[in-house]
Amino acid sequence: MTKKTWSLLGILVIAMMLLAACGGGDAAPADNEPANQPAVNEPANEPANEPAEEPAAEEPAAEEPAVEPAKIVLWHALKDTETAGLTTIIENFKAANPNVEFEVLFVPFDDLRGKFETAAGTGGGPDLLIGGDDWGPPMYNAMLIADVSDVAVSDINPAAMNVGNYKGAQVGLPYVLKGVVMYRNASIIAEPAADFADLKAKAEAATTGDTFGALLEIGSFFSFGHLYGLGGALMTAEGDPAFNTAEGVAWLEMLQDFKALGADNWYNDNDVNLFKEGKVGVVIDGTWNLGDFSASLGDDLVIDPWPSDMSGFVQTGMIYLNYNTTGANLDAAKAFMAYLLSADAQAAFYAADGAFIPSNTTVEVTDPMRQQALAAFGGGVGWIVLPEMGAFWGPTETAILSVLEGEAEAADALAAAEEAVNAALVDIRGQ
Amino acid sequence: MTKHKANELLKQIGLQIFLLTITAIVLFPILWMVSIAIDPRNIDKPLELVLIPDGATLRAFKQVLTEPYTQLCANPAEPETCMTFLKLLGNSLMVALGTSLFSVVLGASAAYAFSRFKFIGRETGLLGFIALLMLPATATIAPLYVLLNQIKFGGEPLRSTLVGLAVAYTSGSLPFAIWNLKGYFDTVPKELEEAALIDGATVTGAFIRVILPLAVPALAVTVLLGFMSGWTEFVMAWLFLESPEKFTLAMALRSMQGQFTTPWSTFFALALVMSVPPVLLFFALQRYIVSGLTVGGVKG
Repeated sequence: MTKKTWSLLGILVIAMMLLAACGGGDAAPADNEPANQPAVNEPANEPANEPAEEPAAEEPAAEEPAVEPAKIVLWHALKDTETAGLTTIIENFKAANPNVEFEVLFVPFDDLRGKFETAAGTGGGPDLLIGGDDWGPPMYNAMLIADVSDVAVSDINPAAMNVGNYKGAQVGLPYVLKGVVMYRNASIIAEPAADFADLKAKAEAATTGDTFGALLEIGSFFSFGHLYGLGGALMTAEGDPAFNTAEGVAWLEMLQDFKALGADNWYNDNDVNLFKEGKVGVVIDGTWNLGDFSASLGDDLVIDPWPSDMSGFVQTGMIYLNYNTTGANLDAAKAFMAYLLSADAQAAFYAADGAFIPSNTTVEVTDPMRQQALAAFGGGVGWIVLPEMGAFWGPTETAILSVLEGEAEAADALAAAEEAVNAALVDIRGQ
Repeated sequence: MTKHKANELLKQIGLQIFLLTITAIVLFPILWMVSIAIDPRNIDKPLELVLIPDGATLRAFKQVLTEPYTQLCANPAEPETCMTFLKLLGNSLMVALGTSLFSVVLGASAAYAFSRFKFIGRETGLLGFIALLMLPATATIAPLYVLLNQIKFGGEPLRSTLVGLAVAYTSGSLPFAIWNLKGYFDTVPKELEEAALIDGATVTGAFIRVILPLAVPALAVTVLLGFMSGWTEFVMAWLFLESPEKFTLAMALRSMQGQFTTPWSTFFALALVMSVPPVLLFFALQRYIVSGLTVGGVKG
């Protein structure tokens, strides 16, 4: 054979291999697809945020055993104490549903979403995923998770339920409330502040030696809430920028004051560590650190209601249903989702984890710290879960840093950020 | 003292200061890790520069070596199903040694063919390996996932097995191994093989009995780099594996990094313990490493 013939043969073999690789396989069983369509596309028979005919607290789904054997695979990134709560709930569910087995896998938070998206995108993955509340919309758009509007739950915090509502579908169910709050060490600053001016005055008076009156986190995640506290907004309901306003300028000026109050506090744990050592009067941090703070400060720890011109994001932890789940697993997974949000299950979680704040409003919160956190959430702002949020982080953080470093005036920095956000939105929306 | 001697002395002092500075820069992160690993406060950064903090303890080392990893359990309700250090170590060794083995066997075979035989696509193939070397590791993860997912043994995809993981790592380490070994084989005189062939050896026999023993330095480098890539990698491992009983030490280390908090003392204790096997392997292969890294560089 000539050299040309060999080359042609080689090209044909490579082309065959490529076609074989691209031709798909049995990763997504054909019988899965038709079964999945109605779960996403059919309108909800029972809107999830309306009370079910028979309240879950009285007759939880766990007590309605499925007929066929099922094995629920669940992936999560919960910490030890949360895992203990989840384990108790699973055991209770299994006791009421002996035909259902569980395979639970912990995955580090930073790897969990990518792992799920890769697995579900190739037709596999777990039946249930416990993850961040902002994962829902993009995963729903990518048809990786299913609409769970037909899962009967009741007495769930309406605002939390709304976080999982996207394009008319319930893309996830909120099983826990968490968020950014203002912690105070009462031995350093005795009274809560009425507004930021009051907080600033109290913090300055309390700053002595190696003790800071306040170390307030400046990073976007922790500080966006104050923009709303000042009467402004980060974005419109459609996801367009809305921060380039007088309130936005006031927000950046407030962050300049944050920096002046104490050490540089841009996404580091200096505030948390020093607060735990009893050397800081006020910090802004998440309720996920409530357990650690309580252990360190005891009765001196207080969560204040937000001062009148400050605020913080209120988030939820979500449970999602894999789009690929079908048959007996689908029924069992939905039953477990309903049970996870029931009063019984939420009470078990509440008892196991000192930072767990139930999304079910019928669970009595007796712990004073968690009562204070719930009260603070009342002055909070709902976490933004729109995919457009991805366009805001970089430009707004650049704006914050340029103002804090004295490289730009607040108004100029916001105008530049708005332009950058609009450019990034074009990519996100695929325009 | 003459002016010349004074200049020499100053030059020597400057050189020593420079070298000590470099040494300090290299050692500082390791000292930091040691300091935090023995710090009883479980803090994320030392608050002051002291090597041995107050109340220093080896508790974190004891914990990572003897206590079960409660996040990595087949069934969290049954602590006996949780992974232990020894189980994780066994899996890590299997993956790392498997990667080394695949890299050496496949790399040496391919490199010998590229070095000795003329065939269509030889130049293109070599350039293709260069292209693979230039790719960021993350670019190959999705294709590898899909490919290994298609191959099943007993209903289980190769992707979710330790062998599959070693194969995936090998795909990353093979291009360098082939180029390095080919460069080395090019330096071995063909006359040695020809003499073996005249004496009745087959081509394969000459390769195994004559070429490979001469290529030990380059093979040692391939073994070490293959072992390191299999030992330390966790991103692909967390993406591919789904059963805790198959998890590796690098995955356990990664699992300690929480969304909001990390137990830094145990984290650094495990990191330090994890560094021991590669260091031992390095010492075992040390006498081959330096020459192995340089011999493939030029064709002599």
